[in-house]
Amino acid sequence: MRALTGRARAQLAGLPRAMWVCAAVGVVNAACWAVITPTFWVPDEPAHVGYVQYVAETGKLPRSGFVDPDRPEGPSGEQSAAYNFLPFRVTGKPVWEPAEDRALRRELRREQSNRANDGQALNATSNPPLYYALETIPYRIVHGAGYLDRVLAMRLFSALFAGFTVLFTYLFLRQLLPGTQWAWTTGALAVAFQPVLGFMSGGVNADALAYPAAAAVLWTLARAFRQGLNIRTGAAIGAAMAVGLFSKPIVIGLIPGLVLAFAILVIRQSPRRPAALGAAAALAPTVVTYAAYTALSAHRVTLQPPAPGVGGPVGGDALTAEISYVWQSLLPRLPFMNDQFATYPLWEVYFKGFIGRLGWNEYGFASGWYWVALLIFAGILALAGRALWERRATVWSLRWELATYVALTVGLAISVAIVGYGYLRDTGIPFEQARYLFPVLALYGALMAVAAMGAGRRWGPAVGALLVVLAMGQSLFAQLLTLGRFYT
Amino acid sequence: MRRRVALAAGLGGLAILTVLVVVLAQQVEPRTGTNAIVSVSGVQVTVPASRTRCQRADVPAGTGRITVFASKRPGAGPLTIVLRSRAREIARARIPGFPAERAYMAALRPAVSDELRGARLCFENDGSRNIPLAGDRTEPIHVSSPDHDFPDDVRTDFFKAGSSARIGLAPDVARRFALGKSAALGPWTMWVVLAVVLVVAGVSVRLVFREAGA
Repeated sequence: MRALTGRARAQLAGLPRAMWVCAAVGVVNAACWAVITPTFWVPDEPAHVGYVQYVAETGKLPRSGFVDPDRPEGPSGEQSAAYNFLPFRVTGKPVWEPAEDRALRRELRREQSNRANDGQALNATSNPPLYYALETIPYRIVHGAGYLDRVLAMRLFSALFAGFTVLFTYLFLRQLLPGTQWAWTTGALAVAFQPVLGFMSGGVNADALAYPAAAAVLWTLARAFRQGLNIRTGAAIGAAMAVGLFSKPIVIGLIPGLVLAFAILVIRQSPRRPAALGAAAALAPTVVTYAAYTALSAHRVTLQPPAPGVGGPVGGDALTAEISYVWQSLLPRLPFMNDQFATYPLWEVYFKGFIGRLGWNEYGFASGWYWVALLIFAGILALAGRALWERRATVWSLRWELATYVALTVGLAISVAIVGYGYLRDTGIPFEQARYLFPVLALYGALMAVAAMGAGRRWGPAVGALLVVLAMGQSLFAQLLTLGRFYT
Repeated sequence: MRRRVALAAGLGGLAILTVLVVVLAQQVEPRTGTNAIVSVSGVQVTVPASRTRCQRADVPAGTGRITVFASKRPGAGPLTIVLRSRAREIARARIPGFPAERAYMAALRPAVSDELRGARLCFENDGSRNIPLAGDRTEPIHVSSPDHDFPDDVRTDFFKAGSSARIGLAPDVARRFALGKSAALGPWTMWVVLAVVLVVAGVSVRLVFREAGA
């Protein structure tokens, strides 16, 4: 045991100091977002806070859909009080006047003993519990404080996960681009300053834990491609995947890419037995545990049947419409397809969302800035293309590994579109948001790092520095935008 | 190598600083308050011809102008807006007509010197055509039935009497920043956050600089 601890300590000591600095930048940036964003203005935050509160107060998982005349279902007293002052103005302005603020605090004090209700996790009730279980730590630490203090404590705790996302991105780049330490820093800092990452991690939302878990999946997978797949590397991938799955179900979209990766690793390795055992160690416990959890917890939520005729996807039979919808959520519509989207999702939802759509996905930069961002991204893509062309022999040797990263991204995007199709059909409300693709955010870090390398040996670090400064600008202007949106 | 990195970071920083200065120097209308609950309302509130419609209003101190949002209605108006507190007239504003669908801003005379809670805001339609104004609380997505009556108020935004550079709003932003949040925060928090953002930027540039020379 002591030998193991000593080895872990030695490995930690061997990690570059730059990695810790990048991770710290990610945490501090997300903590700034935690303070800047008004309470409950992170998507679905009232529901996520309700989930944490229920678990922290009762020690049980929340449930909904149960009619108990003695125990009405819905938000807790505190949650309702805050909700009445804040989320009904979800597209308006938060509390602006000191008198209104005092009234809110009075109401919260009056309701402070009413902390747990069935159904208070609202639309988050069906989520897996890991993120919420961890969030009970700050909640319990400041248990005696006011409701808004507890929400802030939870937000600051959540900001730590942004640091882990950056840290695993750094480690991933260290595997992917050996020998170019400055490029790891470029990619990791670009991720640390990504405004939507800071915004989401600075709020109470299970996405915050799904992002570092998925970044860890990419890192451990990259390690497996270099060190070989065995029980140890496989178990590490499985553990990261389990954390992701038990945080946010959408992470399930990574599984097709993982299966492809394991197939490649098993086929390429000789002997194949350790690799096959590694794949089994990665997938079997995770999938079995998650399936068991899903089956056992299904009773917690009794969902209402969808209202008929609320709108949604159009054309042909259900399967054709769904396929058409999934296709158009990522690619241009083909001539024989019905129009499923009023806009082009890759641009409106994913690109603009990535540059900065904030709040409940309802405010962002002035439209001209997205075109400026597109120009910058065109330059980044051109540089990255140049880097890959110049290193085409290396790229060819890594082709199977790179194919798995593409498969992970496409799998995730397709699963978001499939969920989006059902959601639109049942509610009439679009589901897709750029943040749902953030489990592969480490690949954005890789793109930035590779783009900097595309500038050549002499100018690479300089272009890397420029990209980091531009990422800082993006973050700063997103924060100023938020100040303007809510406080002017 | 380090010189090139410094040059690139400096150029990037200069570009950001330039945009920042331009953005912060822009003249804006300083909002003092709003009764808006939604950004865009799905409900139209009509002030019938030759009639008056009143609603409750909280008007912040320093308010010198009022904005309503109206549909295009050529020939409608004028609309007189009267602000009363305890049955005493405090200020009034006048909008002569509604030739296009847009926001209409009018000067409240005299400007409101003290905050008014629970005041009464009346819209007097002095013309012979109805005036359709935007509501303040019902999102379009929730307006599914045209027959259903959605109780609503006229959306009113309040502004200071004159425009100001965006940077001039900073004290107001700092004051509002801490409201509706943890009691541990105060107006000072915004300045601390800005300082932290600058420190983090400095640390990051230093790290990039160091790594380039490694």
